[in-house]
Amino acid sequence: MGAAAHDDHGHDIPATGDGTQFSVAHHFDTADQQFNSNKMGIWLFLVTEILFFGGLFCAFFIFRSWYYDSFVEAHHHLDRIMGGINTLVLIGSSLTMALAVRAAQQGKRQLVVLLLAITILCAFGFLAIKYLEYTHKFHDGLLPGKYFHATGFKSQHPGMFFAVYFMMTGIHGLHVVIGIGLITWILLRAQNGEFGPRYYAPVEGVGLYWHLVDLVWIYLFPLLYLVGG
Amino acid sequence: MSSAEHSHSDAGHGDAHAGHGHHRPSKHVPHVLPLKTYFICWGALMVLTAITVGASYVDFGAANLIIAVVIATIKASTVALIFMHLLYDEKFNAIIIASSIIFLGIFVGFTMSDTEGRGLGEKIQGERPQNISQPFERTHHDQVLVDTWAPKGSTSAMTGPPGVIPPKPSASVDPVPVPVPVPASAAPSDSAAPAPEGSVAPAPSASAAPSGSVKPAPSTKPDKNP
Repeated sequence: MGAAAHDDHGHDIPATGDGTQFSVAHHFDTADQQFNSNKMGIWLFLVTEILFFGGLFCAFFIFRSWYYDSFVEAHHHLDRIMGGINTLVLIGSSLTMALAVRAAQQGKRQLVVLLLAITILCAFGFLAIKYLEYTHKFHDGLLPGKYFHATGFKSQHPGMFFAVYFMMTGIHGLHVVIGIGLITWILLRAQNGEFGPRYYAPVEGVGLYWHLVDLVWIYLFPLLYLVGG
Repeated sequence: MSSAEHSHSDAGHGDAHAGHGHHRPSKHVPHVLPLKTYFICWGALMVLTAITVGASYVDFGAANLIIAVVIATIKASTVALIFMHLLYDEKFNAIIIASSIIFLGIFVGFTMSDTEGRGLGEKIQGERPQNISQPFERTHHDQVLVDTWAPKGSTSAMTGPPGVIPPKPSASVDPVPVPVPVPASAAPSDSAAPAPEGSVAPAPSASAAPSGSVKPAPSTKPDKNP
């Protein structure tokens, strides 16, 4: 009995195929408790992310208040169609991510891999459109702060808008890049058959992160691209 | 007899321990939402995106920002409640995320009430006579605001370090320089914000400061007098 208990107790039992076999760490009572603790940790991390982006949003509101005319004039140089398409791409990737979590809950391995692959494709699509937007801005001299050298602006501080724009979308883009890495990691593990109805916490965690990236964009897009006067 | 009882109790304890969980993990049963829920949410998000883009072509004035933020919040709530399973999750996770939003509101709200309200306090100080012996000689209109945010080479850039009031050739000495109010833009206009947009120079009445880069004060300069 002792030997058997020891085997059950082990931390390093490899997952086999459908994810039905995994270990509950010894400091958790149940698999449910372990799962919920895992998820709560991700939510706490998301709180730090919200407060992190919150600083940038605060900067946006301050500078918008100080340089209102400049912000209104400069925001017309953003392409709201491109931004809108990017919003749809990101929302679509959020859907496929949520469906990937659902597929993992049902133990559909191939479907998880497929949906995660589509999510990664959407993320690359988002970055590609962002790249087109950025190069267009660079070409026009719509650059942050003192590097701003576009002409024909009536207001005095359009560079401030682009400073905020590039900082916010840049850091958001960095989160997309990190997300691609995380989803790839999850995809490989799913392909390896590590997840199933009993154990899919990493899929859920990465999914929560990816949804937060989507959430941030949901606010960034209207504030930067749409809100004028 | 006693030893047999002892071993029996041992075994009982062992059973209870095994049932405790980590030797034999209880199974986590996922809460699977119907596929329809996801697609309805996705459709709602697409429609709301179209609405917010469409609304941006219509000018609602000051409501533009509010409309955009309200639509974004509806979208964000949909993602958080359904895609992120917050609706079906442990309520503690909802408390965690709500707390972050509350603190974000405190952060942004207090910051904005500060930056929007600046100059309201200085206004009183700005109305003090600079030279107590000649209380009606000068007013705060003589203050020079330096645009420290101006891009390099911009016409609005001022010479000298920020916040410096150019000396006056007149005999009256200013013991107390009027504090330079940093942006206090109550009115939604660049020109209404004192420091940022366009440099502000001495009032026409005052003796000419050693100007060169100094422009006349714009008429829309915020009046500190009530």
